[in-house]
Amino acid sequence: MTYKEQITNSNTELAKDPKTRFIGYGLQKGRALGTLNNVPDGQIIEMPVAENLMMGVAIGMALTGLKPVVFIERMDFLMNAMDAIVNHLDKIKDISNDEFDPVVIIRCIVGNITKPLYTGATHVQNFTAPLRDMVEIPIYNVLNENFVKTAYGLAMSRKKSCIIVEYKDLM
Amino acid sequence: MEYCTKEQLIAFEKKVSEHWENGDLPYLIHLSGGNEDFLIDLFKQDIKDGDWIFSTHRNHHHALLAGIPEPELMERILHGNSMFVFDSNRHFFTSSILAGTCGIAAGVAYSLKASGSDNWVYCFLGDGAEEQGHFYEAVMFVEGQDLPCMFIIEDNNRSVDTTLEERNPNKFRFEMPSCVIRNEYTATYPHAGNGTKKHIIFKEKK
Repeated sequence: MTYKEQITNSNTELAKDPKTRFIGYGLQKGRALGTLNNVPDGQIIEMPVAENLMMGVAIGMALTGLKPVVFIERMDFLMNAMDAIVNHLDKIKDISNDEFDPVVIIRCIVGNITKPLYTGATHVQNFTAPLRDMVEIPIYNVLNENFVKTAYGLAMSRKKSCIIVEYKDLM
Repeated sequence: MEYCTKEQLIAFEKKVSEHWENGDLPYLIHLSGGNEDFLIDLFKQDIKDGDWIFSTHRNHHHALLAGIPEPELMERILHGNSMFVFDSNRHFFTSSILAGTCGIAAGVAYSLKASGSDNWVYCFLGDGAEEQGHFYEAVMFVEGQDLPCMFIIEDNNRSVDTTLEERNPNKFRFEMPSCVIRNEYTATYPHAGNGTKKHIIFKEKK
């Protein structure tokens, strides 16, 4: 199975939980590069291109018991959501003394360098290494098709937030 | 539910202020004061059981009116949690990151609406946070999706310690949609601490 098929299958698996919601922009039309093609329409939340809002809305939904999966089309754009990730998602359990424990899965795509073209300096950045210094939530760096199932398996079973890093050039 | 009176709210903050001066609080504190009448009306008349409250670094009045008992709140403050008052049973959430709660409040409101609940979300912010982009993202989303969420700007004409005129000479403001209300008030205390000129020797952390 290819890298992209594995990711599509894993997201299809995530969608089997009726509490799962996929949050992002352009999802109804673009279906996250096709990886959400098997997800029921009712589980897709169409958002404006406002990454901090997307992350905040995901945290809010998680506070009410839903299981949000945020799709960030390019990791460069994750920078707009860093406040919600670093100061909220990563800290709420601790600073609230376990009163609240929102669990959000974040999917980030590292933009394409070669396939089919170079998309430019602000569309190909990979912040996996600095992110590991900034947050305690785990980051699964999916460098090949063999790790897809493991990464998503961990994301589903560990009941804590995580960031899954995927690569457009591998899709 | 029995609500704190104005006198009780003021007395509570005075007690915290005294602890601060005594050096009992080697932590950052932000005291509430001056907005009691508005808050008491809002909590009594609009906010009902099951509603969600998103507060800020200046949350003591909100927390007491949301029903967190005085001794419990004081205990949390004395342990350094003035900025981190959370209560899941009362749906009470705080953040000291300006406008950081706005998107989260919108997300809770989205869930409430989707589940058919008639509960609402009340998200407090100051006029400093009003100048943050994250606030506008959330307002547009709430208004555009018709979500049960109200943003309450507690306007003390102060962004940290700077007045609107000092930071924005034209005093420019957007006209707000119906999901935003504003209460202008004169704050009793400064941004942080209690404004004393005394030199405070802080005791060891609890």
